[in-house]
Amino acid sequence: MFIIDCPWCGERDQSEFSYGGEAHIVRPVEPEALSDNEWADYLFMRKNTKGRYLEQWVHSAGCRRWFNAVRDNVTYEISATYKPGDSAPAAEHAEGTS
Amino acid sequence: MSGRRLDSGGRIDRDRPISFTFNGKSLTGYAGDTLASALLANGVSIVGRSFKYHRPRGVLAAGAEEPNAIVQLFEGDRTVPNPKATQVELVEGLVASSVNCWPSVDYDIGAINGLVSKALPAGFYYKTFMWPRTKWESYEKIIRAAAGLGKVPDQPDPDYYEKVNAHTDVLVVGSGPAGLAAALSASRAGARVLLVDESSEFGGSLLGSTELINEQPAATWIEAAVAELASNPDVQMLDRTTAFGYYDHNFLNLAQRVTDHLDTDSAGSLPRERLWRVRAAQVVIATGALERPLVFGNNDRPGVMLASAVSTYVNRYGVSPGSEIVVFTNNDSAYRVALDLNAAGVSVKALVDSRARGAGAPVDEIKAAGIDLITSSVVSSVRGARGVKAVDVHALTDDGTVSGSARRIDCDVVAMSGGWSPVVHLHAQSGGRPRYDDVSASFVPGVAVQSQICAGACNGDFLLHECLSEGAAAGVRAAAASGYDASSSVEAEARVATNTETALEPLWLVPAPKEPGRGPKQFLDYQNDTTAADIRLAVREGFRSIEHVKRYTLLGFGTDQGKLGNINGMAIAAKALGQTIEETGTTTFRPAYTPVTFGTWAGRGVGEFFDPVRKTPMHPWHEERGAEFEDVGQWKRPWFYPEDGEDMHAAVARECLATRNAIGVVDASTLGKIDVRGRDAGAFLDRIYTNMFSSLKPGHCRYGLMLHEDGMVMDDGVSARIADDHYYMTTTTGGAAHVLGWMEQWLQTEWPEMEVYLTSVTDQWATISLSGPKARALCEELSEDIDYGDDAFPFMTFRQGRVAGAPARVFRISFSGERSYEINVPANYGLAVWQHILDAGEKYGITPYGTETMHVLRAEKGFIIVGQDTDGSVTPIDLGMNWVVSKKKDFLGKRSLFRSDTVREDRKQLVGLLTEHDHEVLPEGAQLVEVPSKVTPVPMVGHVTSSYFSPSLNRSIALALVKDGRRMKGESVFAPLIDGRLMKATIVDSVFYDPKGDRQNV
Amino acid sequence: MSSQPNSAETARRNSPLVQCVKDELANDVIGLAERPFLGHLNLRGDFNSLNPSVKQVFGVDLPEQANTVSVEGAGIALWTGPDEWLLIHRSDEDADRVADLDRLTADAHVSVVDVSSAQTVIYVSGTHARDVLARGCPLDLHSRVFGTGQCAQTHFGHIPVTVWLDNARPDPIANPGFNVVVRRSFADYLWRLLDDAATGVRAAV
Repeated sequence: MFIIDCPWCGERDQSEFSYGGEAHIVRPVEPEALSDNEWADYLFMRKNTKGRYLEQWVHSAGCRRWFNAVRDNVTYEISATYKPGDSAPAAEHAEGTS
Repeated sequence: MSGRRLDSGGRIDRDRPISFTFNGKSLTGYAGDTLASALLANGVSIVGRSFKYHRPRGVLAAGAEEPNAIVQLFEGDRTVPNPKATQVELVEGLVASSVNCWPSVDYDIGAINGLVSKALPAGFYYKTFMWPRTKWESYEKIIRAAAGLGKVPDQPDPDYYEKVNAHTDVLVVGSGPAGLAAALSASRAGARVLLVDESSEFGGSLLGSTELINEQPAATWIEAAVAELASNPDVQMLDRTTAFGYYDHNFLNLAQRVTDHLDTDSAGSLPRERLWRVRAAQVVIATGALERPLVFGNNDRPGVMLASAVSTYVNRYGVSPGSEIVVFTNNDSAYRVALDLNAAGVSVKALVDSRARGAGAPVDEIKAAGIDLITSSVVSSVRGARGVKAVDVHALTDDGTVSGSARRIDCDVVAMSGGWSPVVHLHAQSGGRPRYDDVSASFVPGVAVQSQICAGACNGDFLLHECLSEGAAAGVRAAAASGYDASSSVEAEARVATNTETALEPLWLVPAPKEPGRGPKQFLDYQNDTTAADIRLAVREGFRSIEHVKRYTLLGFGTDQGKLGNINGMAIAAKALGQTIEETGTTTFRPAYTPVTFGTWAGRGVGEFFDPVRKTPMHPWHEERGAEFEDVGQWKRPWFYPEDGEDMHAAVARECLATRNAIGVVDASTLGKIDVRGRDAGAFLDRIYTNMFSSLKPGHCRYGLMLHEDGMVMDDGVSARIADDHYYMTTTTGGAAHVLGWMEQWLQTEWPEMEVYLTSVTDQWATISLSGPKARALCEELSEDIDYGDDAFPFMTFRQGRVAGAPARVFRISFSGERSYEINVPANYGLAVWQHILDAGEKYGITPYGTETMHVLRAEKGFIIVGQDTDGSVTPIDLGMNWVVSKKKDFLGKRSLFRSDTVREDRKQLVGLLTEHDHEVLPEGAQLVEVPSKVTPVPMVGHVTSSYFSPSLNRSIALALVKDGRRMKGESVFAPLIDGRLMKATIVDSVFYDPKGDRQNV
Repeated sequence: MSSQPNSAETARRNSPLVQCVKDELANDVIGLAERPFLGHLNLRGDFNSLNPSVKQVFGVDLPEQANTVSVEGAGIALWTGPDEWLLIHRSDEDADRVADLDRLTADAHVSVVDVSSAQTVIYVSGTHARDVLARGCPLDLHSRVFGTGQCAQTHFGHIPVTVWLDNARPDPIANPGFNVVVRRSFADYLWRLLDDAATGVRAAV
C-alpha cells in the first residue's frame, strides 16, 4: 500500500487513488488522417518498461484531480508527482532502468 | 521425558489453577501458563505426529517457531486449526487436541509410513503418482485424506473481527530489552510510539532470563519501563499482537488476539481478533533471534528441545521438561541454560560442546556446579522410540568426523543450541536483503530500503548489554528521523554485566558414524519431515537453486515456515553444492510471519457490510410495499412488487399491462446524473457523444451514445439542455461514476482549455417516471404551473415548475414506448412526492413497477441496455444505431469505427428472436447455432442477450447478437440448452411492439 | 382534486437518515447524529471569480489553502479541489441566497450547483470519536496532524466522505466532534457502519 503525494492534497494513502496507466499519451489531433496502424499505436501500444515509469493517477476519493507520477515499478518508490501539462522531472537515469 | 512443575519460580499464578482438556484428558495448569507449559507440567510428552512419517513429537520450542505442538484449539463453531501450543494461553475450560493423527496420538495408523520411510524419499509423491498422469486425480483424493493438519470449522463463526487504521511516528516491534529501550527513548523524545509484542506480557526474552539489570532481576526493570510507557498518552502498547507483514512505504499489518485468553464474561462484545493496518514514519525492528536446532540422529524424539526453550520453561513457567538433562551446544549461550537448570534443582547430566576449548568464563562456573563438561564432542544420536532415553556422545576427530565407540549417557531431555538465527523476516519482507555474517554464522539484516532500524538480537547482536544500548540508540534515531528533537532524550538507565563470549563454531550437520540416509534420521524441518539426506538427494538429482531445493524437499513449507531448520538446510545444500552459504542465499521471506485467520482478514466486511448498499429516497416505501429487490451495482432497486400470492411472472405481467393500458410508475432515481456547465459545454458533449449536442435547443432533450476510444459502446442516456451553457446529462445506473470520471479525465488531461465544469447530481434528484396512456391526466393534477398539452410540452422536451408542491424538472422522454413523464425533484422531497403521486393516481389505476417490468417494456420496444445487450465488443453499427453516429464531427471512438475489423459486414449484430413456440422463453446467455448438429464442436453464431415473456404480445421475445444477423432475417437459429433440449427461433427485427411509435401520443 | 396540494403548498421533506437517527447513542464517549437539512452548494471556478460573491451572500471567505475550512458568517466553506469548494449553509430551502449567488456570478466561468438533497452530515463526536473513524478511514486524525481548520476528502470503508473538525467544541483534542459529509444514497449504509464500529470501540473502553 503506497503513500502517494497528491500535487494538491499532499501525502495520502493509496486507497484514496485510482490508477490511470501510462502518462503523456496525447490524443491525435486528426484521428481520421491516421492509418489503422497509427491509430492502433495510440490506442493499444504502451511502453511497459522496467524501472522508472511515468504514469497517471487520480485522487479519486479526494480532490478528484488527475496527475502524473514517476514510479519505479521494481522498487515501488514514487520519486515525484506532477500536474498534468507539466513535463516529467529530469530522470537521473534513462527511462526504463532502475 | 517426564516434565513436572517445580516447587517455586516462574511468572505463573499458583493461586489460580485452571482446568483444561487435552486429547480428552482433564488436566490442570495455572494462570500464566501456555498450553505447552501446562502440558509439560502434566508430564505429557507426545503432543502430535509428524506430517509424513507420523513419528511421535513433543514440544520443541517456547514460541512462534514451534513446529511440533500444533493443535486443534477449542471445539464447535469457535474451533481454530493449527495454533501452536507454545502461543496458546491457558484459559479455564480450554479444549485442545493433537492434529494429523488417527485414531489417536499414541497409536497412529499413519506411522506405517515411518516403517517404510526408505521408500518415501523427497519427491516421492511427484515421482510415483504422476504416472500414469490420468490416474493422478484418483491418487490425489487418497493422499489428501491422509495429509493435512487441523480441521477447518464447519459452522458459521459466532464472533466478529475488526480492522483499525493506525498511524505512528515510531512503531517498535518486539518488547524484549532492545524494543523496550527503543520505546523508552523514542517516547522521551516526544515521538508517538506504538509498541507491539506477540506475547501476553511485555519483556520478551527477559521474561525467561535470570540476568540482572541495575543489580535487580530483569522483571523489575521491565515493570518500570512498562509503567512509564503506559503513563504516556502518546504511547500505545499492544500485547498478544503479531506484526506479521511489512509492506510498501512503511505499511505494516498486525494481528491482535483480543478475546481468546478471556472468559466469556470478560470478552463481552469485544471482537475476537483485530487487524491493525499501521502506517509508521519509522519502524524499529527488535524481533530478537530464534535458537537453532542441531542436526543429529533422531533429533526429533520427544524430549529433544531448544536449550533456550528449556530455560524459558524453567524460569518463566516454573516447569522442568524433564529430570535428567543433557545440554548439547556449539556456542556459549547454552552454558547459561545449564547453570539456570542447576540452580533450579534440575539435574544436568552433561554439557556437550562441539568446540575444543568450550566457552570462556562460564567453564569455571559449570565445573563449580559439578556439571560434566565434555568438549570436542557431539551428541550423534538419541536412543528411545517414544521419547529420549539416552544419547550417544562421540568425540570429534581433527577432521571433524566421529570415530570410535559412543559414550552412552542416560537422560530424558536434550537441550540443544546450534547458535541463533536473527528474526530478519520483517526486514526481508520490507525489501531488505539479509546478508550472511560469518562471526555469528547467521543471516543478519542487510541495507534497509525502507525507514527502519534493526536493533539487538535481530541484528545479530545477542548479548543483553548490546540489545539495551542498540535499542536505546535506535529509539533516539527513529524519533529524530520522524522530526523530533531527540538531542535531550534521556536514555533509560540499564546497567548490566558487559560480558564477552567465545565465538560459536558452526555445526550445520552433526557428523555421524554412518552416512546420512543410512543411520537414524537427522531432521531439519520437523513439520514436513525433511531430513539432511533429502537435501543431499535433491542436490544429487540436479537442483541448484535453494528455491527449487525448498520446493522439492518441502523444507520450510509448514505452518512454522522454516523458522528453525531452514538455515541448517541451506548450509547443508551449500556444502553439497560446493559453494558458500552466502552464494546459496536464503529462500524468500514473505508475509505472514505467523498464520492469520480468515476472520481477521475479513474484518467487518461480511454479511450486511460485505459491499456498500445504496438506497433511493423512496426506499422505505418500497420496503413497506413488500417489493422484492434486485442489486444493480451497489443500488437496491425494486425488482417487482408481488401482490398476494403472486410469483414474479404474475406480478410482472400485471405491472406490464397496467403500464400499457393505464399508468405505471417506476423509481428511476438511480440513474446517473451530471450537471455540465460552461461556455464550451456543447462542444465538449459533441466530443463525448457520438451525436451532436451543441445543436440541441434549450428546453429539449436528446438520446446520446458514448464510445470508448476503441469504438465500443460504453454508456448511453438522455441529456437535456437547460440553457446555452448548461446541460443536464443522465447515464446508466451502473455507469454513472465511470462516465463522470471519464469526462473529468478528458477535461483535465487532454482538453484543459475547454471551459466546462462537471458536478455529480445523481443523489440530488429523486426521479419518478410515469408511463402510460393516463400519465398526462395525472400529471396535470400534480402541477399548476406546467402545461402538459402536446403542443406546449412535446416529446423530447422538458419543463421546470412544481410537482406536488416540490420544485421539479419534468422530462418528456420514454423508455417504455408509452407516453411518459420523468419527474425529478430534490431528493429531500422524493418520498413525499412519490407517496402523493401514488395516492393521486389511485383512481387511474396507477401501478408501481420494478426493474423486471422496466426491462420487458423496453425490450418490447427493442431499446438496448448497455452492459446487457452490449459487452465491450459491440459498436453502434453492430446495434443498427447508425442514426446516432454523426458524420459531421469527430468524437471519442469515431476513428475506431473505420478499422478493418469494425467495418467487417459479418460482425455480430443485434437482432430480435421469436421462438417457434410462443411460450418458450430462451435463457439469457444461451449460445446460438445455425445447424442442430450433434458433431462437436458446433460453430456458434451468437448468443441471447435479453429474453422475456411479453404480456402485451402474449408470447416470448428475445434480443440477440448474431453473426451477420441483419442479413439472416427470416432464417432460423437453434439454442441448445443444458438440459439437452433444442429451441428453435426465427431472426426478426429487434422492435417487437409499436414499431411506428404511435403509443407516445396516446 | 381538492384533496391534492396545489403548487403553493410545500411538500414534506425527509433527510437521508431521518428513518434511523438514534439519539440515545449520543454520549460523551461516542455520539452519532445526523445534521439534516443543511444547505450544500458545490462551487467550481477560480477563486477570484467566486470569492467576492460568496463573501457578499454568505459572509464567508473561500479558503485558498488546500484541505482547510473557513467558518464565518452564514457559511462553512471547505476546500475540495484547486477550483472547487463545498459551501455549507443553514438550510436546504434557502433558495434566495442561492439565487443571489447565481445572479452575482452569472457572467463568470463558474458553476454553482445545489447539492443540498444529495448529501448529509453525520456528526461523530466524543472522547473516542477518533477510534470510531480509525475503523474505516485511512487518515491520521491525531490532533497533532488533523486539527481545527483542517478538512479532507477521504473514505470510510468503501464510502467517499469529506471530514472536518468542529471548531466550536470546547476541547477538540480530548473530546472532538467530526463532521462527516456523505452522499445521500450511501448515508444509511455509512450510518450502520459507524454504529457498528462504535460497538467495538465501546466494548474496549
